[in-house]
Amino acid sequence: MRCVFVGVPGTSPVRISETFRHRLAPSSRVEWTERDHLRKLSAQEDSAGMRVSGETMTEPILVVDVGTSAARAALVVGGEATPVKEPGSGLAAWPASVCVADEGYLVGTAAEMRKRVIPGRYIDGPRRAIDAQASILLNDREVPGTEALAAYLAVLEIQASQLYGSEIPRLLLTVPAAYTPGDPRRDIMIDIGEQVGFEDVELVSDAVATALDPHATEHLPAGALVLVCDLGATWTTSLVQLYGSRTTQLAQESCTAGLDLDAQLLSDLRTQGRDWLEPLLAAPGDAGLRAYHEAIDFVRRLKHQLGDAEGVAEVSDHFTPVTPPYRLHRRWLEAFAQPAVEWLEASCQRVLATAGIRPDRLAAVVLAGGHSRLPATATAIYRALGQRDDVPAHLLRRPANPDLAALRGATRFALDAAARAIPAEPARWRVRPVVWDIPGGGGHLVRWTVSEGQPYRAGTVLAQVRTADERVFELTAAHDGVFLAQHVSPGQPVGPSLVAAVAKDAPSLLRHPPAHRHRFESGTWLLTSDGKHLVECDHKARVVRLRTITDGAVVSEFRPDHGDNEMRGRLFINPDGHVCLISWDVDGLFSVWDIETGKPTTRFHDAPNPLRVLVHEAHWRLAVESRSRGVGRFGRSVTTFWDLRTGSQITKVSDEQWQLHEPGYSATSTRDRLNRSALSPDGQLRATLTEADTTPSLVLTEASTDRELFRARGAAGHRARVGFSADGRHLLAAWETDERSLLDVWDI
Amino acid sequence: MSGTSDRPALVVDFGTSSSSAALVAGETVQLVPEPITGSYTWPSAVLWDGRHMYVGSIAERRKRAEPTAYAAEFKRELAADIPKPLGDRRFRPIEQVVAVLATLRAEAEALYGGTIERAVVTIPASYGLGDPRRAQMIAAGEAAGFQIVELLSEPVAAAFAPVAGPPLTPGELVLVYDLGGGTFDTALVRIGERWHEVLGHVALDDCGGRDIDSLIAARIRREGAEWVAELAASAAEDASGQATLRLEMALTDFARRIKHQLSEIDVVEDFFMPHTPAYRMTREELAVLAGPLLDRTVACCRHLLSELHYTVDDLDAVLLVGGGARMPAVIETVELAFNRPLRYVDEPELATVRGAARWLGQSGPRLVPPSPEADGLHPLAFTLPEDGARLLRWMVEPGQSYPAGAVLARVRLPSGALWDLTAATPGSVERVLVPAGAEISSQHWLALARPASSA
Repeated sequence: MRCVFVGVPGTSPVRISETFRHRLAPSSRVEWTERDHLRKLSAQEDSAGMRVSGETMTEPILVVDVGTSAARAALVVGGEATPVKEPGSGLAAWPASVCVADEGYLVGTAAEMRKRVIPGRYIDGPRRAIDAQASILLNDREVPGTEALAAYLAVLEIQASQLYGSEIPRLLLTVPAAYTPGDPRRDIMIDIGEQVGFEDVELVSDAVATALDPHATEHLPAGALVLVCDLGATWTTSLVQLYGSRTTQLAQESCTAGLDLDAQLLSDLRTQGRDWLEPLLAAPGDAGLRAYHEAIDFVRRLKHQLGDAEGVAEVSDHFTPVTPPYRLHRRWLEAFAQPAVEWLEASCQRVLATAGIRPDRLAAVVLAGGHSRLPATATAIYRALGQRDDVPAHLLRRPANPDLAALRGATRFALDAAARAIPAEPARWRVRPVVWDIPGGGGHLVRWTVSEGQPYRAGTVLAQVRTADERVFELTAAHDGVFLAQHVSPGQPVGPSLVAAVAKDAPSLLRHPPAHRHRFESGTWLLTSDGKHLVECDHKARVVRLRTITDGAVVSEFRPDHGDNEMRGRLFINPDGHVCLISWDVDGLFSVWDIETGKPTTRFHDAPNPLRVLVHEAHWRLAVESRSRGVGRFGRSVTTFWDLRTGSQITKVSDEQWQLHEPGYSATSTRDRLNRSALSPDGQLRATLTEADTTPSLVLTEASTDRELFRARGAAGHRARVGFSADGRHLLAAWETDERSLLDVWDI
Repeated sequence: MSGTSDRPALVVDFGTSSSSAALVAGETVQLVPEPITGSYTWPSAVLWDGRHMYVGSIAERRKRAEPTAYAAEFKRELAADIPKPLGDRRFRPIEQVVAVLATLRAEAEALYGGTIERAVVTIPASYGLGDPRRAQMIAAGEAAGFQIVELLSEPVAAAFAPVAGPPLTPGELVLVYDLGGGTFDTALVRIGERWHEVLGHVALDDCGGRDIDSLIAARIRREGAEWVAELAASAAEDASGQATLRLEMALTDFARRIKHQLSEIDVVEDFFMPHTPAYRMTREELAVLAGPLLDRTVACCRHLLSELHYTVDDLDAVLLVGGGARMPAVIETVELAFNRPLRYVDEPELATVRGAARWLGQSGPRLVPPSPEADGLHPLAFTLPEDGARLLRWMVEPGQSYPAGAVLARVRLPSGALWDLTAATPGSVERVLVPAGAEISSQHWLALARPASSA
């Protein structure tokens, strides 16, 4: 049910009806200068995703940025955005004001006009009541903040529906950055949207929206860190990390600096114009209140005049035609703003510290909101970042028309809606759902009688369920099996079905082996110790790539600078868990590279033409075997030990049996997650290796029963290592020779 | 393990003032006798002597010696759940219930010669869905050593009791009138072939045999003011304060004795103590005394009928159960109020336990095998970009086919963003496991789908 009895400027308050909705022709749509730009942004989504019914997924979305002093809205339809202009003024900014007239709610310019007549029924910034979670006290009544804001949104909805020619099912609403996830005010905002009649209400933090403003951050890469300083009536500093639709807000802080500044200006006006203003303010009834509202508007107007005209030192205006002029000097404005500017500097530092981010990691600082026109704000930000005024221009971004930054970003977010889709996971190889229909349609789970990973026989009771009539039913197994996962905890409601994950039986798994996802080839492979990524390195150590296991996508790439030398290299894991490349050339120049930073950490020279290079990963030492010089045809080999932290030589031995005394040295990494055998993260599968005639085979068995489920043969002469990805979804096997290694990934 | 639902079960009618239990093994039903009195009715009373919790008649007999160690009617305290001091310790009402259930279980196991892991405990109809006392009774049953505890509404159980005369016939509308020791329960039941449908029920928590006892005791105090006052004065001299308590208990027991005698004879003359004057009471006097209380039970029944849009004339019978059914005043009141055929149960105080035992035999098997229709179904699970989300709604109907890429559901992430969950391969949603509005997490199975190839 749409909200009723709302007032639209220029019309009498009406009950929303389809006739009313169609009174304005779609031709009244206003072109937006950014339309082409945004269309380009969304081009890739046009073909994506269709609904079952055949309608396209790009349903119309009304985007609304409700600020403290003004609201802005846009209609996004089929990859195009159109601003929803204020009908009273024709401007993009709708005054965020509501007037509770006898005939219903008036909003925007209509409310601004009516406030002279009924100043006691005027609400300045209805969202502030939501911020404070309070009602609004008017002269003769109390208005819930939710109702005032719902009325406001209802008028925006009417305007947008007229523009579109039909109801708009979806609303994207910006919320203050301070409404962090879990804040009850988010639920209130969603409720308001639903009250107005939107089927879906989506929220986006205004800091995230501002960071997504194409004017500010369009060409920044994914993962870029953006500091957003939104200086409107409320001042907010937020740290945002850009990932398109997954853009996240890492930290934020807010204060009411903008409102405080207005209060300071008003107080100055009252001091300067004591003789003529005080009698007006002191007038009884509505007259005094009217004068008060006009005084606030008056100082705000002067403030904006100073902000808009750089270089002007002073502005002045007359409150009424018969009162003396009031002058506002730039110096005074800056002095009044000083506490706010100091807050901004400290706040930027605090926000970065909260998120644990060094200023030099910032890709951009976006300065938005009306007060960003105060020159002192940029200086404060430079100081906060430890920069001087000649900071590189690309860092500080002042989007054109900063009041619209959040709306533009939110619109970009709305245009991206079709990309916010998550495809279903492929079915797991070993997992089969078992389903019970709960008698009576539902109940509560009493307990599982078999624990995860435990085998069971046909007829065994696996769970007990209490139905609403307090009978307790026992859910049994039809076949022998292994219980995998419960999905529901005791005490939780279940029904009409209860499911559990059980393992398919071994013969059927043997018949249907797991899907082979891909085979990679490179010099060496590591599975990172967190089991989440693969690291490859060609044996000439030219390139190191970090890849995802699921699709092999390159997450990052590192090309060490070796000059023109012919290199060898292998990957190891240092005692801190970092993947390191150890490379060397024929001259015996060894380098240790930290893959994360891409920098060489240590360099040292050993004898040329090393025979064998071995590393003790726990002690972080390296042993180089090389032939000793000038001792005839059968020169003895010499082993030199190096400290990989410092690059200093520890000792040199000529004992060819040194490994008997110094165990723990290996030619390849032993600290990664690929090993001679491995247990799946849930402990239910074991991967082992067997060897017949120098040909290794991978054997996957059920840990609880030792039954073989899958077998894969390698090539003759290969060394093999096996492992599981951290999420347990992939089985990995590396087949290695000295020159190359293959890596197989299966979906399990 | 194999199921416990085909093993013997103990059916317990845990009443405010008395309890009873029946052992159900296969087709046989065996009531559990109180070891001291041999009666099938156990006093719901406990006594803590500092080492051991005694239950039933032992507690009743020792209460005169140790009145502060004795407790009864703790079923009424379950809702408030305030611990009561018994001797040197405090016990929660639920602990006292556990003691009763554990004693009944031990006695039944001795009778059966093996362990009993399953119980059916009857509860007043006033324990509505979600009433914490339901969970308390289940917890008490589990604490008493039962693995499975089922609950059954007392009037439903009573309607299953074997009635005197011809059995109730399917289709009949029967009003169950159950005046117990502590509460009055009434339920309107439609008799079925195997299952009776409870159309509605009401209870009065403060209206039972014990309340009639209190009225009689008050009358005794009033009419025998002289000798009662004398006794009270001498009891007050006891420094421990136990004598006064003892006197109160004895007066209540005396009142009950008079009430029970009036079920059999018209006039009772009895002596509280050998040297106190004779106390006399007639059936008519008892009827007058209990009148207001019985009128409340009748009003309660009428209220239930009108709530359910039935009239007294729609009733095929009124079934009288509970200890109160033995009182002639009750029978007369009900007869007069409804003027419908009255049906009786032999030993009405055992109607609930006997009925519950019969219900157990007729309430169907408890073993549920997996649904064969689910063979070949694949779970639908998703990797969410944030921790958790709320499932806003399903965009496909169960059974509806969808192509690859179709939007299946819409979720809201903690950040407020809406995301669509889409199909990776074509198929049809067969079973929705998570309803709209629920919180979900990554890899959570939301539905089961049949892949298009096997559909």
